[in-house]
Amino acid sequence: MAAIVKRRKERHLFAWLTLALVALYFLLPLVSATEFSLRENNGTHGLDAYRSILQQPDFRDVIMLTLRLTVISVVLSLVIMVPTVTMVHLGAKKYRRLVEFISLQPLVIPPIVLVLGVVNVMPVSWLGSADLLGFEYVVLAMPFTFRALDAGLMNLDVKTIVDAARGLGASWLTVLVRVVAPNLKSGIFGAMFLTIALVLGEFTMASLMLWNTFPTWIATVGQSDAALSVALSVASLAFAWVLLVLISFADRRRKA
Amino acid sequence: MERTSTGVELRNLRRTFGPVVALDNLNLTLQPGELIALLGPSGCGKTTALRLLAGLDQPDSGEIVVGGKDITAVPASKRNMGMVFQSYSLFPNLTAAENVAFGLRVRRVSKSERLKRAAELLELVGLGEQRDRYPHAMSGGQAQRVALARAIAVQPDVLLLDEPLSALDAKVRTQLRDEIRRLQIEVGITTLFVTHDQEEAMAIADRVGVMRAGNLEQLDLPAVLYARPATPFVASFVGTNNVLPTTVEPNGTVYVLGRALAVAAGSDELAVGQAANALLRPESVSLGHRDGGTDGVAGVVSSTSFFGSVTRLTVKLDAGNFILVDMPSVIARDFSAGAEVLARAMTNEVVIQHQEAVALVDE
Ligand SMILES: Nc1ncnc2c1ncn2[C@@H]1O[C@H](COP(=O)(O)OP(=O)(O)OP(=O)(O)O)[C@@H](O)[C@H]1O
Ligand SMILES: [Mg+2]
Repeated sequence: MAAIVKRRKERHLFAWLTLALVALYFLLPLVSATEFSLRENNGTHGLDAYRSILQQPDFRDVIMLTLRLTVISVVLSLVIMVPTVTMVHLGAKKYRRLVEFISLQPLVIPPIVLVLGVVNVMPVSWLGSADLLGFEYVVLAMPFTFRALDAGLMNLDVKTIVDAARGLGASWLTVLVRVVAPNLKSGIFGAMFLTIALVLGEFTMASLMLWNTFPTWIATVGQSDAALSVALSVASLAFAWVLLVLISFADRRRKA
Repeated sequence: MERTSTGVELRNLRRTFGPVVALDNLNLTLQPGELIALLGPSGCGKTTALRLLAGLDQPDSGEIVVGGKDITAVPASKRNMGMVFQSYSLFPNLTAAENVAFGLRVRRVSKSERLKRAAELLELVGLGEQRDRYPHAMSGGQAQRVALARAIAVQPDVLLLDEPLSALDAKVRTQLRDEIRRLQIEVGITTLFVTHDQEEAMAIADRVGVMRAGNLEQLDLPAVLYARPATPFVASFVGTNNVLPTTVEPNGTVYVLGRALAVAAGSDELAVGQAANALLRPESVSLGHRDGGTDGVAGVVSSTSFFGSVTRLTVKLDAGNFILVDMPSVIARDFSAGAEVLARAMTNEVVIQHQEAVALVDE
């Protein structure tokens, strides 16, 4: 009896220790970064670095471009992937492997190669538009969007509810908008979040295509002002966190 | 809810999936307002037939005619069918009332009108109180009732039911079965009800169609189907049968349990002297005590099962094979396990088939 209690205690201790180590691994850099970004010239702490973010001359342009790319890639990702993954689940099961394989390619092919491909293939007039970058992000996000939607559909008897809706007179568009999407909310939110996170963090493509997005801007700024660049990173992380909390909150409300 | 009913005609429907012939050449006519039950073993094409009629799937060839119009090429969304599925098919994100109103919403019925109709229909299936419940909070029986209300709500030309009761427990099953029939008659809606439960088919339908391997073997009134099966497959699929080996006599009769019986219509064609199996219903066998007479084949009662008004006895014949005998429970009291009995056929004609035919029926 005593031995069992002891063993259980040991296991608890081990679990806590592991957790603490993991937390340390993630939190330490964050805490140091935050601390660093709050340092001021006279040795005290304050919000100077954060205030100066807003005063940067190209801040507005960078944010607008990044937001625009985010909207393009999220909307396009959903418009392409929701019907595709739904179809795969509806009977084209044999194509699931193929679609999954295709969706994984961006993880295998380096972004540099993708960019070179795009630059070589696309007409020059298109290369002048930043929107093209949004299209590329749709491709880059595919591994994540596919998985998120695929997992969401696994929990749903899609075939039956789609048949039921079609049998009741719903067109394919109505089926997708009124039946599949509302029941796939958590998968869609997951896909959205991952796409947003990707756009907020993608550096290679944006920099190679010579666009000044949030990540490339942080890098540029960092070369001249370390405190500012760290403040920017912390701020963008906080932004992503708020987004995550909001999304999981919306998702929870649906289940209630 | 007065409305005119619609007739349905399936003509030479064929549907294959690669090498699998799901429907071979299906012909079926439903009279307006009629309920036909399609009965058949697993994989014989029942669901495929329903899906074709609903437009959820396209036939390789053949025509579907509803209300005199050929709708073979009409997409599902324009067909006006109501379908209830075997697995729970309610939209998880919608309440009972919203589920019922879905088809009306698609048809752009005004909100107040469709909520009113949904409430009426839920009342009709006995769920007036549950209109704001979500599917995950419903029992299986409740969910299928809502699905039924949802299917009827659009006032469909044809109601299609694909084994709607198979996931329910026995009591709810018979209850809902009778309710579906009551509603169907009340609304006067032409209905195709698919099941692999012969009792269910017999109890609910105006006519029962027995399917086998993508074809309709026989379509008849339940009583006719039971008494005069058109093919050996139907004979052995519908109801319980004792399979008794026999031989065709020179005068065309067969000896079954000590009596010479005429060969019934629907039997296999067999030559004189050929070995055959006779299919004898349990209720067509009578038992007497061995000391009471000499008529019949000797055996011993090995067990009895009480089904209420009827008792089923298993009798081991002296030849070594077992037969089932159904008799009113009041009479069966005289025959307990171990009783020495004489079994006798209580019919004048019997269905016979090739001896190897029986194997086909095993599901
Ligand atoms: N989408 C499909 N792809 C391939 N084969 C199919 C498909 N749908 C049905 N089949 C095949 O067609 C045949 C008939 O299927 P169907 O679902 O109509 O049978 P059923 O009579 O409804 O059987 P059950 O009683 O098991 O529901 C089966 O052999 C089945 O495997
Ligand atoms: Mg089926």
